[in-house]
Amino acid sequence: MQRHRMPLPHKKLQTQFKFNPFACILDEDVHKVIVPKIDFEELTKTIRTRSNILIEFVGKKGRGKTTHLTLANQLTPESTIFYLNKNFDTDKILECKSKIILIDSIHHIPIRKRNQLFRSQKTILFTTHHSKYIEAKLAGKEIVKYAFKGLQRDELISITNKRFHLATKHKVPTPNLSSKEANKLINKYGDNIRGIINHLYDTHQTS
Amino acid sequence: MSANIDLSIFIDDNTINEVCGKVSITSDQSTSISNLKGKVFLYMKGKLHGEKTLLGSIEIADSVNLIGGEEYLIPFKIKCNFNKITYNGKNVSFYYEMEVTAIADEDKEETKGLLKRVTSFIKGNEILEEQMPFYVKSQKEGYRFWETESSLSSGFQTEYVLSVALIVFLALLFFYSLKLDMGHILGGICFSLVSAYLIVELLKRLVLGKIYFQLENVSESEFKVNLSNNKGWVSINKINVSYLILEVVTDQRGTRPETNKSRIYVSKPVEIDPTSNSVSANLSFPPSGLIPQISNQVVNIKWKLLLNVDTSLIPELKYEKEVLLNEWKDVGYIVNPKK
Repeated sequence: MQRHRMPLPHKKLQTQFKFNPFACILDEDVHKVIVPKIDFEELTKTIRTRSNILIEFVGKKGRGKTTHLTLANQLTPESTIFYLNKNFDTDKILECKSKIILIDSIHHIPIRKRNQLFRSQKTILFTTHHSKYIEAKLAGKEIVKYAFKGLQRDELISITNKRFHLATKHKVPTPNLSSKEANKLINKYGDNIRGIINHLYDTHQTS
Repeated sequence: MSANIDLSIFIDDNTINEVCGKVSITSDQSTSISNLKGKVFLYMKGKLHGEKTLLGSIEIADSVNLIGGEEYLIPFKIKCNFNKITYNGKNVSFYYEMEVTAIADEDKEETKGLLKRVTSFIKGNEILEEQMPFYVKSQKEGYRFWETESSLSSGFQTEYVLSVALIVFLALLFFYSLKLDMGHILGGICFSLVSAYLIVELLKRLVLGKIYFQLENVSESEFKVNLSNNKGWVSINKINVSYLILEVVTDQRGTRPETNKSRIYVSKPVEIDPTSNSVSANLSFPPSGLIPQISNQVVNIKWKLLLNVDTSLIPELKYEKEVLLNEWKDVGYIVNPKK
């Protein structure tokens, strides 16, 4: 006899959910689950009216910077977004014709090219772990900072409940995250939203 | 009064490369709907950047006049390829969904509120929408390994090396009267660790030699692991052979990628008596159709052969080697879980 640790795929999907509520969110669904940490109306106005400006989303990993950047891209269809990784050809960004460029993980661009990019006549919105204030000033650019820090209990409840709502099947009541559970999660993970979401993914995937 | 319109989807079993079935439409009042469309999607979701792929679509009906209280069954057939089986792993899931949309041709504002309470719901202003997941199982029965011969290498024996290093260090203190100043102690520790590592490696080579394995497909549910050793098996007390299946998912969301590795299957070890003529073990494959073959930049399903070798000189030597399945393209068929 062999130990079989993986449940049958059919069984696990027959729950109250269409899919694991804490699985990744498709880009098309981001607006349905996001609990904005910033004023998107103000942000899009800044992007559109103040050309040649740098805007940075600063925060540790898992705080929602990329999710907010994705929504910013959807709200400004004239912008071009680049999700960078270590293999990304950063010349593509320098060659981009768009006047508004959104960059996730700007640290993948070497500092010399970053300086070149900052000096270009473009509006650039990017995510970063550490502020690029000095680099912006060296390039003679104005920079606006949005800090991604802190997580309130009600904010977490709202995030999880929106995910529950998106994943719950029709005709089935949508569950809610209790205040007690939210407090426990914040005590354990702090403001690391991705850490909390991944924890909840594991608990829902194995149930 | 506005109508309550209910859309339901019924999907046929056992179809390959197409989704067939019927859309059931009922309304409590006479009305009409238009632009009835069907789409089939493959989703990849989990702890990674997800994907939604449109596999096929069709216009099921241009318009449908509904008489209150009557059920309308409209057949559909959508061509699409199922080259992935439904899989619900630890960090990633692949699943299929059929989506039907239609436009309600009546007073939109009144309909909107009411339709939200029935099966279908309003998306945007006036669109009825219903989804139905379906399950795709592999046509392939069982698994087959790529039959190759390869050598195994053991991992670093941390505990054993540290134990030997401690003995060497104590020996240095005792026989060479090592001075107890920081420089000599650090030098002694480094010397002990390097010596211990070399001693263990030498013992492994002298006592065990090189272990080779060959995989043999016995049947669709079983395979055989044949082991050989250029030094023979004299100094080996017992060998346990097993395998595990790992799901490796790279999460590229956010500013730093992360890799999640999870064991999705661990076989029970089979003990081999090295004194017997045939140093081999028969192991069973996992139940067929459950574990897909996936190997790309973000999702990898890896099979690893594991050997636990117990010798009189070195206890619990662990060997590990990735083994490959014969490549096949999963061609699935629909299995409706409701039936």
